[in-house]
Amino acid sequence: MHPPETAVQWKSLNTNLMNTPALQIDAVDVGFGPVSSRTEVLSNVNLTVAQNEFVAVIGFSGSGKSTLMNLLAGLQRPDCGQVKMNGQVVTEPGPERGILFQNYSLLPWLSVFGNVELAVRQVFPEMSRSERRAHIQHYIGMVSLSGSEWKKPGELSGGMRQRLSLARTLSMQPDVLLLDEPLSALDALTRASLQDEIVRIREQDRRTVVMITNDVDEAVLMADRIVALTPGPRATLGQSFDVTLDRPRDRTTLNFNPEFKKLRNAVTRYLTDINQEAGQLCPAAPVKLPDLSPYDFTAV
Amino acid sequence: MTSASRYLEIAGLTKAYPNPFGQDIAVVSDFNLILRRGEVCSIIGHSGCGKSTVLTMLAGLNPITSGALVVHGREVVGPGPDRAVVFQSPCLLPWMTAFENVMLGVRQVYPHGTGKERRQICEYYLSIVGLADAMHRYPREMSGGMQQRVGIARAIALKPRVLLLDEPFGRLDSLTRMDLQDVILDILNREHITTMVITHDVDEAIYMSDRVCMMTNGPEATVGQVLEIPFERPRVRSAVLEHPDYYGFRACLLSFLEKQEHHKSSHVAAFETRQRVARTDDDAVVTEPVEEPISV
Amino acid sequence: MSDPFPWLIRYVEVWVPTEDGSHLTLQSSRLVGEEAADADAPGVPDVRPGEGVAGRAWQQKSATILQEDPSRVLDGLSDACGTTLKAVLAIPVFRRHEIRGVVVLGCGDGLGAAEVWSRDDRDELAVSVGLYAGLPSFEFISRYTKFPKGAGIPGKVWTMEQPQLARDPEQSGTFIRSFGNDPAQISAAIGLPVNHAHGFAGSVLLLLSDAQTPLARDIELWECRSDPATDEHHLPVTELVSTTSLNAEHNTGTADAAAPEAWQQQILKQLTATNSPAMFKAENLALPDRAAFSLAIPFFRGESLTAVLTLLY
Repeated sequence: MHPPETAVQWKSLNTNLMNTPALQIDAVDVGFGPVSSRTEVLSNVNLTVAQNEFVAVIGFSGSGKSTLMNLLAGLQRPDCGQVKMNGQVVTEPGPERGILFQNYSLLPWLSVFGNVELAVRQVFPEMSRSERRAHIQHYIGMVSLSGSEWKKPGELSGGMRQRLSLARTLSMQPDVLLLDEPLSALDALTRASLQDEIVRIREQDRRTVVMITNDVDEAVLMADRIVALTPGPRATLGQSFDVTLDRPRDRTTLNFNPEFKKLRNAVTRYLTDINQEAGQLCPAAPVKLPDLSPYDFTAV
Repeated sequence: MTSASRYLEIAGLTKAYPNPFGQDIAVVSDFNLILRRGEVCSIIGHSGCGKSTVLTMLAGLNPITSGALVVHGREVVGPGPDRAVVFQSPCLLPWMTAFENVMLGVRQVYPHGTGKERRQICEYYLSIVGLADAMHRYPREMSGGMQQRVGIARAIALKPRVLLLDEPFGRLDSLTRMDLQDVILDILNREHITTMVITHDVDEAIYMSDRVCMMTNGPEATVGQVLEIPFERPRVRSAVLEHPDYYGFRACLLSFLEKQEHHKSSHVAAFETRQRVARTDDDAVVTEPVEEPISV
Repeated sequence: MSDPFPWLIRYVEVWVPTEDGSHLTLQSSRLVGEEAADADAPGVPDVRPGEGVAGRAWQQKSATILQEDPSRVLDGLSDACGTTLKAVLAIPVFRRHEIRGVVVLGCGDGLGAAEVWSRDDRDELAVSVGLYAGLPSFEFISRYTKFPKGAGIPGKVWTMEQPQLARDPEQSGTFIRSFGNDPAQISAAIGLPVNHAHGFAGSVLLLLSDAQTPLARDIELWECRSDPATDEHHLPVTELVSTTSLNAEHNTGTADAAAPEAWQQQILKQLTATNSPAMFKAENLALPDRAAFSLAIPFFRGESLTAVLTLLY
């Protein structure tokens, strides 16, 4: 039995934390190059992610998505403004923010077990051998890789490698999970199965997630909220869409859900609109097409 | 029957390869499809179902085992500039600029034109794909999406009778993909080229096509069903998405792919069992590591 | 076995040509159900091409579905049967150019679909008439569906020029139109061709039923083979090659798997003699599964009988 005052203290501490945003980006600017010819990548970016919230940031390639992720991870400092995690300014990468990249940086000479072990040893050096073993097995099981512990990354399919990366990230028990287009390199089916897996794991093991993606369906299926990143340069966060669809969300039945359709259409329309504003298409041809038909090689 | 209603006719198209035991295995079997002039038809199916085999046969890059291909009333055999292909990776020559890459084909197809005319053709098509300001860039100076725009310009500049697109945007992210779908539709609205698109993206298939041909899994892959997409052209994405029938079509196509996947897993399992049996029969066969199927 | 549910098909008529071939005459009509009584159809006049639903099927060389009822044919039939018919289907049988009969089926309330697939200007089959119950998504997608030769059940009927029978098509992974959350579950499908002259005449009748309202107690498709030894000027002697049935245990699969049963032999004997569809009552023929009667429809390619479809009630 805990003494009552401890319980009260614990509770109040927890409520406190629940009221603090898990992540907060305040008026952040990021640019590259010398002052004279500077490229503004991100401009006046503001984002607040609540505890245990799943936010999907959706944007075009080259719009500064990776820069945003680097800021959250602490791999890059903003020129202006602040990035905070649980109220503390982020200044460097840390195991409390686990990142999953599109390209799994696995060590090819280590087995599945060995790759996870490496991370666990770093983050939990005090763990006993048997504790560590159980901990590693737990996360390998969580991503459905039990039975493949002794395979090397080279023997795994793309989807399995990304599962392994996920197990490694989760084994460090980060408070916040940062997913940087984690599934973009996978084929549609593997991608779908990993989306389900990530959602399932998050249901078991609740935590805050920020995911960068370019896929509207992925965002609608997985996230609590979708935030659009406008096309760069000087990208900023645009409209935010709350995803209030019930979980679990089933791909097939969602098709018949009016709320799903409405949301999916709204996000797609918004993205195509901001893309056209950026004026990437050049519809009018400046030259006239000569009136010339191809030579008919088949005519005899 | 007018040739406009049967502009591209695929009759009994079959592709068979002999297996190691000397029997012919049909990858694609008795594939029948007729396109009207200017129609856009997509073929959807799982990877490996044989849809690319159909397309390469149409392009004349892969010999036909049996069946026939008729374009504009004339049977075609082998490759020709009347059928232009855009592949998933545009395969641009890296030492040539976008303009020079397009010129390569234009020089072949317009030998009777003047140099100025040929240049104008290249410039025209590069501009309509949105590359007016980037014509003289080298492939390495362009994003994947821009390179694919060059690939599209290169194909359209040949003024082909039939345009064949083989998963043209498969390697691009979904937002770039939407851009390029609009680029293609914009061109097709001007040029009315009869077009066949291979894709596994259901939204792409509905948005771009007049009809979607669902292809069953191989071996003996063939047309499962054709779905007419009645939305008027020119199309506006947001209007298409909000059409009351859109999600009905989408659900049907998604469910087809899902069913094919279940079907395929059981097929593959049976196939692998046969392979194992074959291997135990003949020890000389080297066993290759079989990639473990994903357990979802 | 008592009938725990109503059949989708409630009423059957067989029309056969008069001796001179100028008219069709009603040979027999039956109600489907526990009582399986002969329907009371007094003084039905013979029909010429284009007259009535049977005459129309004959004239158009096409399967026909009568739904709207300006001439109150359905009402008349319904009164005669003592049951409400929602629609009437008719399929003509030709041997070469000659009409050999028309089978008319009356549908009652139930779950399922009846469709006529017709060849269009680019050689694809499209639904020309469709009747659906409990299948809203299926009906929606059918309007936009086309089958080239060889595709789907209708396309296979076309290629084979023979009926096709599918048990639990939804399990096959290729039954594409059934994608939504429709209340009805298709448990059986049969596709019947209209053959004329040398082969397929461009029309397929497709019947789909939910297990709650089946098409029949059992449906068997017999593939037949004319004896090659027979002189072609004589009546071809036809043997039964295989049987496909909606009841799995009745399937014989390939040739010589099982000798045809007595009732099958007898039906075949009569059909090869008359070349016309016919009904067989349990009083005259020992039918399996305690069926009350059987409807047998022959299918010809040119002159040869290639298949017989039997519906047991």
